[in-house]
Amino acid sequence: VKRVALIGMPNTGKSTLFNRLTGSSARVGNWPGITVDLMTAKILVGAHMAEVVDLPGIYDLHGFSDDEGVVRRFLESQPLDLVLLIVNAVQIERQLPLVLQVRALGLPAILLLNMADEARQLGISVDAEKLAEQLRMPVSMIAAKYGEGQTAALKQIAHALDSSTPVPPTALLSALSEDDHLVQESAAMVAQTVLIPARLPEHLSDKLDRVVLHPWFGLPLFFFSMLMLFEAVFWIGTPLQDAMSWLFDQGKTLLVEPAVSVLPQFLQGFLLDGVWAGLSTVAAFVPLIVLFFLFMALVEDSGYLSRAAFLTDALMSRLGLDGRSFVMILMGFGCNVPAIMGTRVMRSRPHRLLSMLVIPLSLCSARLQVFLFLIAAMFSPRQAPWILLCLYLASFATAILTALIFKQRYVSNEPFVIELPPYRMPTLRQIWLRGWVEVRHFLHRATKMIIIGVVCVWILTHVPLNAAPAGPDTLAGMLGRLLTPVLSPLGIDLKLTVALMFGFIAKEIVIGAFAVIYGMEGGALSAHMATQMDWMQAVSFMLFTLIYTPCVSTIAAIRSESKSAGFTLLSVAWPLALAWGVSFVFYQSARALLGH
Amino acid sequence: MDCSDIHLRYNAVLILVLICFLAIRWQIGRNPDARLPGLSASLGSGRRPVRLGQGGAFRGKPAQRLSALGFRAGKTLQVLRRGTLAGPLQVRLGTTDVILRLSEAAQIEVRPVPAGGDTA
Repeated sequence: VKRVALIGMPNTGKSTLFNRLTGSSARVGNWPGITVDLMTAKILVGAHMAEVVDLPGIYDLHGFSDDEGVVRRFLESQPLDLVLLIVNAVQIERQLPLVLQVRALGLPAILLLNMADEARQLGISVDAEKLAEQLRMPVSMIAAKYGEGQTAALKQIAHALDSSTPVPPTALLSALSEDDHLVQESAAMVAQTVLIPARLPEHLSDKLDRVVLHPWFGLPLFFFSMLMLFEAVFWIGTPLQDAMSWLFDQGKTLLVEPAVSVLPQFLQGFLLDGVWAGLSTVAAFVPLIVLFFLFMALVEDSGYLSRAAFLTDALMSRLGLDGRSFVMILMGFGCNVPAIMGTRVMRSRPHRLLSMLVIPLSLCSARLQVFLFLIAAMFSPRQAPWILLCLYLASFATAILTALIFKQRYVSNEPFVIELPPYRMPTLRQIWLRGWVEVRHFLHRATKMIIIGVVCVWILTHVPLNAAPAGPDTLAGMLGRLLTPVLSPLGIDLKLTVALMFGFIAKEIVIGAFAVIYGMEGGALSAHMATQMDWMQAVSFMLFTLIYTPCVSTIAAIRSESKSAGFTLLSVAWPLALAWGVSFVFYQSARALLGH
Repeated sequence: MDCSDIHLRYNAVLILVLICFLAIRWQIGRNPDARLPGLSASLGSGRRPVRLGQGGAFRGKPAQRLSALGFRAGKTLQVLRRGTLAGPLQVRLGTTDVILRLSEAAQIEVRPVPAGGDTA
């Protein structure tokens, strides 16, 4: 197998080309010592089987950013047969030095000048033959988005692989001092081979930007489009989620229940309410993740995400984050899981970690269901909206507090310099591939952990077997009694503690857990709960529910995205501590001030 | 209560709160960098292009990234707009648009382009 690596600057269409070449066969590959996901795929090029690796976009082989470190480590540790250099033809003038840096390493390389269509529109022309001659490497003009020039490029790749032998990895240091020399060389090459019109025609992007980035309308427009986006995700997603859970319910009653009916009672419960319930929890996220990433691909590939960064940076920079995390935090108000996965658009690891710490504090739609139930049970219709508004405000406040506390710990070492690509129309194929790859990634990485979590909670609430499920004699009840000294200052009693344990699986099931714990349903349950606690206890319980661990799926996502057990532990421990603190302060001061 | 209806309404509340929040930030964060030298100060001249300074054009951390993006001495660049709420600048250099924060822009030395020389 020959190994081929894709190298190029951000926004050169590198991943688009990778998807073009490999279709949906791409997998997330594991490479020793590398902390970001690299997509790889095996494809047939001519007579050769080639393993293609999509390396992160970099500006400079000698740069200090996280991604630049990843590419350097990769090049220093893996033998390569060929490097495909992707350059945005429109920006060839400033991207050519990177090509010369790679050539200086002595790696066999092919230069692909992408976005030939945009270059034509702007009147930029490149003499590819002359450039190939000067660079001493093959050069092709392509438009990866439309597959233009792909056949010719593949022929060149196959030809290059015919004679290639793997080049062993070498240390890449030193060359730094020669960079100025490379810049001069590249300027000379560009002068001889590239024709750039003295005055570029005004792009459609400039006209759109005048509206989208308008000092007054820009932000409202951004909020409006994000709102529409989330509504679309949930408007389409919720029925699909319902369909998915119906499917799993049917599967349970028609297939699994008869299949396990011969087993002893305990095993039946374990398989049905533990393992199968875990599987359906995973399945319930699939429609949301597909939809979220379909829309995110639209936002990102169209170039709007960088504009969102421009619009919101004033606020986010003060919180130690950048504008791109704003979009993810907003998305967290729908569902935390895809929002955590979406932090991948941030290229600096400290920023990603800080965002992952902040996102779970967003009041997601699952928590909203619990709050709606409790608020309806405990408060009058006139009070209800205000209580809910206060919970949203608490969600913002805890998120801001968390960012302010941890921003010193997660300082990005990268300058905030983001390219603003022109607006582009993403193709359906691009968007679809993105959604598909992300779902597979989620299933692959998160399924095991979610099922383990669900099974653990089932065991807690059902062992020993002779006790009433979720009752005081089960493991959960005993654990709850152990926790009583900790949670009773918050006004949270034993039954509510057990409900919080259920809430660890997913917040949606807390209401179902109430039904099991109190042994009632619907209106009777609401009425009974209103007699069991006062409004201070209810608010304290909701504050705790808002802030502590969102759900096992979120933790699984954080684990797979951060690739760090220590960070995952922090992301569980910090919200727990914060939840306890906030509920304690609220409950005790409310008791002290308002009495009884 | 109809859940989806409420969800929609509170999303709207959410957006309103965020806008208020940003407006408050704006009052606090208005033009804190106006006195800084360098690129951010050159905005007084509107969209007039400016040229990057010769030696010592870059100071501090962003230098490497900026030079990889084509910010090299002698190049001509143009500030297209600045973000509200003391947000970042949108700068055009050749065929590339980038956004950079005021704090970073302040570290870039520029001087006006001599008359008639803005096509370089």
